[in-house]
Amino acid sequence: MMTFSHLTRFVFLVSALCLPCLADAKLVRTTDPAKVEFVALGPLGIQVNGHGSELSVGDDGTTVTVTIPLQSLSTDNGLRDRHMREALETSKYPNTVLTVARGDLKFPADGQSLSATAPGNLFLHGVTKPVQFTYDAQNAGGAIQTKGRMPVDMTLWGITPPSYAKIAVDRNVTVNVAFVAADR
Amino acid sequence: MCLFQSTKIARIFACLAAILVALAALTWSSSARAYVWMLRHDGAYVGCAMCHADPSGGALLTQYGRNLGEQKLRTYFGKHGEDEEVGSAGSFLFGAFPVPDPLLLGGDVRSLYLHTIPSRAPATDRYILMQADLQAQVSIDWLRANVSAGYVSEGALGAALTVGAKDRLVSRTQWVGAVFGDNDRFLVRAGRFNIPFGLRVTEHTLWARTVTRTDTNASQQHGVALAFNVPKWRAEVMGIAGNFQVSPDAYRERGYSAFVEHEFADRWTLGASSLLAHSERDISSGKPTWRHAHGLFSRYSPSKILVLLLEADGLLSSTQTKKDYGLTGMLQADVEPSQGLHFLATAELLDRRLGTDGVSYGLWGSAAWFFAPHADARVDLVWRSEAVTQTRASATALLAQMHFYF
Repeated sequence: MMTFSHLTRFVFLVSALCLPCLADAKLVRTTDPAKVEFVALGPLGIQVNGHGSELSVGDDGTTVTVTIPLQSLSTDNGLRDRHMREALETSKYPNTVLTVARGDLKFPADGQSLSATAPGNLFLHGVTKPVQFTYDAQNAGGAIQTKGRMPVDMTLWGITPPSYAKIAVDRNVTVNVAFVAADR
Repeated sequence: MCLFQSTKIARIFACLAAILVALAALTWSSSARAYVWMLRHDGAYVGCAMCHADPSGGALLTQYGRNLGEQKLRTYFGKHGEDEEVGSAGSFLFGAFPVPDPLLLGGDVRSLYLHTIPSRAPATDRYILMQADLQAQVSIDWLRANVSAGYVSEGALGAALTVGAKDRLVSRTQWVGAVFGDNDRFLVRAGRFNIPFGLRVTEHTLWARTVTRTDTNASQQHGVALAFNVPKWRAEVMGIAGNFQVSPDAYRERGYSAFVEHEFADRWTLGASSLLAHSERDISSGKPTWRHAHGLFSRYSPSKILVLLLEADGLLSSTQTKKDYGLTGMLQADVEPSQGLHFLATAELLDRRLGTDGVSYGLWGSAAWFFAPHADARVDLVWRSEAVTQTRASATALLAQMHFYF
């Protein structure tokens, strides 16, 4: 039979075990809309702007992940979108995932903002490659507005730059994401 | 009692003015297509070079332009997925035979029924074959060679290869060039091609095109040009050596023409143009003349359904004895409520000699329908009131066009 003393010790033990968890905050995306954009340039002045709004943020306390479902991206041209999805093989690899060690990220204090560069790993088209990305973060009452930028050479991930009617976009694409997360 | 009836001289002027307005309407002739309102689509089509062999737009299409035209220009009936491939409809003659990669082929046939009602003269009806052109370009690595040849039943004097009042062979473009720079951003070319100036609109009889002599019908000149095209920027500067399809040499203009256009915000561009040319015998003054045109133009698409086009140009015609300052401009709204169907309203003005003759006005109401692959029909109702030597004459014209390209 558990005595009061045993109960007290059990509660103390559980609390002690939980304390690190409570101390280790995690990034959680707020309900504010997210923005995903990419820009691909081509010959003769062509510029393809892609956009989406689906993005999820994961945090297990040591690693932060940003996942974008590639099917959600659009260039406002149905045929071009289809070619993009074929090039990315989205039926086979539906998501792209950026994985960053939490320790490599800087978090601004409340009312502060910062700009930084961090290393990460980008999973895209079935291939994971190390990347560097830059980000701006602004903490407004615990809500951290984050804007990240990253150049992607799609050929490094085994993607052939989409081509249409003898015009192919450049292999280098600039990706921008913006979302709001709380460090809870 | 109006001025026309007050004196014999005024009546003569009125008759002359009416004839001039009627002639201006009747000189409507062929046009190379160039759809500056394409910037409404996708944010990717501010420039022209990806769709046209001419980096500043018009006429011969690239394969990309052909496919885009099929995808974005025409009305689809029944079920059609936005992501469907264009197929052979995007090819020359619907893919009747394979065209080797280095070769671009194209052609335009455009016909016009014209009903003109001058204010003080009998109405007239005419049918004109405005354009029957074949165009070709060969691209070998960095080299480009471009030529067009065709037939018109009348008009297009500046592009004529043959003499005679009617039934002319014409050639609007002949040039060789080289592309260079990242993403082929530069094209340097020499030969005969469109003058880089202002909005290269299809309505080539707008005063902004005719008075500046920069229309795509027959105002091409020989010269050397450098074109520049990158995202959000396009520009071209041309050294004009003269139109060697007209003679004698005294009529040929020498000088420069240039434009630059920048996309300042999504689907909003602003551009500037400048032209200065000299001839020993100007076709208007008959004297040695320096001709200036300098202006601004803009394209704006607040939503996919609407595109606004604006151009304003200052003019100066300078001879040894006098200088005439003038002004011309146009504002056009293109509404596309359903893909392929366009309603256009255009206002234009012209003051050839500021403070002297008065201002001429024009209003256009138009509808165009890209009703099938490689085909469109268009109707224009044009009213113009033109100030001519202290008097005014007006004319209304109804134009019905059919256009096929292949």
